[in-house]
Amino acid sequence: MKKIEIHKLTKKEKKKLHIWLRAIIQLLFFIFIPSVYTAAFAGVKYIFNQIGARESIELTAFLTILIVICAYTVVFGRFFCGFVCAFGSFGDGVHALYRAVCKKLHKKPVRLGAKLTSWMIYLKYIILILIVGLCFAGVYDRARGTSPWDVFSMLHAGNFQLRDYLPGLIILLVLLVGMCVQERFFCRFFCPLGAIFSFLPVFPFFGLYRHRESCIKGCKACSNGCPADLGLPEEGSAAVQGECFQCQKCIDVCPKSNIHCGIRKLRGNEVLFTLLRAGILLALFLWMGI
Amino acid sequence: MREFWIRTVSVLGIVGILFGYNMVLEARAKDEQITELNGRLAEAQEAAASEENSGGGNYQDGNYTGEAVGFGGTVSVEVTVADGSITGVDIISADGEDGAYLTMAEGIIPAIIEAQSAEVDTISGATFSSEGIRDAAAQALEKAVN
Repeated sequence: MKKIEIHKLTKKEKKKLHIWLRAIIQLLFFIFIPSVYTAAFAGVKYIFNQIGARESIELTAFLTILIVICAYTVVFGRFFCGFVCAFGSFGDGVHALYRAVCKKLHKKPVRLGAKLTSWMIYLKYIILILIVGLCFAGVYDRARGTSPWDVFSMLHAGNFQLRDYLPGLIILLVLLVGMCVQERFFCRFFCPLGAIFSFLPVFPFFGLYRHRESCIKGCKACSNGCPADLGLPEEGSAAVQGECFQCQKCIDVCPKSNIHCGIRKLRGNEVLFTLLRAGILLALFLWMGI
Repeated sequence: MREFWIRTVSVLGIVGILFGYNMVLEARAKDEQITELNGRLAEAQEAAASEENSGGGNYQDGNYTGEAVGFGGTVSVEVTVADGSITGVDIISADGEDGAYLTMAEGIIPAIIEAQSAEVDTISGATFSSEGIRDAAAQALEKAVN
């Protein structure tokens, strides 16, 4: 039934449906399961803490989450980043708010130049190495107050004892400005978990796929509309890149509806596929007892 | 596709290194266990000697509850004391804590039982939740002091 309805929708209605679906999924995960990203990254810190202390690595709750999230990303791409991560959703919310305010005030939103952003994406690897290095040296606990994630989690949990977390709070406020001017500012440039995801191999089965042969000549709408500034390859399908966090905006931006994700033969079932991926992830979370 | 395989091989390599690391440590741990057990024996003998001096356990038998602030709310625990020593710490409620973090933080319970005191280190990575359990246990133990 639903499938037929979805096929009947006009392009504009479909786009709206996709935007609302993503917003609702993000909001629900944000409210009810907000801590997965910190828990998964705590798994990374745990590994290096243990190695630094010459102790064996045991399968703790954090490490289990890390492994499951990485395995999920290998299969489906960074769907977790695009739809589930609370910090990513927070950034999307801040950015959307800034865009709405700009529209209301009839001001052109500020954006960072492509040249600047193209090298800024490497900052996250430096941050990852830095954190992992501190854990290995066993001194990470001394830098605890600098984590904007901790501050964010505390505020989210209604915990306002931020006395020891002043540096983290300042960093969070600076990030907030960045999130306004650039979509997914933190995710693209600073997220150490994103840095790990970028290294992972992603199965080519469920990624975004473009039927390039039926494109309008010279059309670059998908590349232009990409919040991660991913230049899609001229020929063939869109390679699933580590930097792609599966926002799926290119699907709706394409004037010819050439971009799809999910099982190749079932074109136009993005809504069901999105629900399926969110459902699988939710089931995994519940199974892990988050 | 080539990149996919390169990445797969690298990830498998890293996982392999971690497994190898664990195996080396396991082999070493066996040797260490022997020395540790010897050390514990000496410790136990010492403890037995000091216990004789102080005359029995440090706490009064019974169940005691305590509360403290965790990460996102109050954590309450029940400490069981039998034969003068702490035999169990049960979490009664921790609604504000996050599942994975609470599971990690529960690792502090064996430490409390082993130390027979709430003065133990917090669990790294789950500092707030384990602090909540520790402080709640400390509050409970205050009621149990002879």
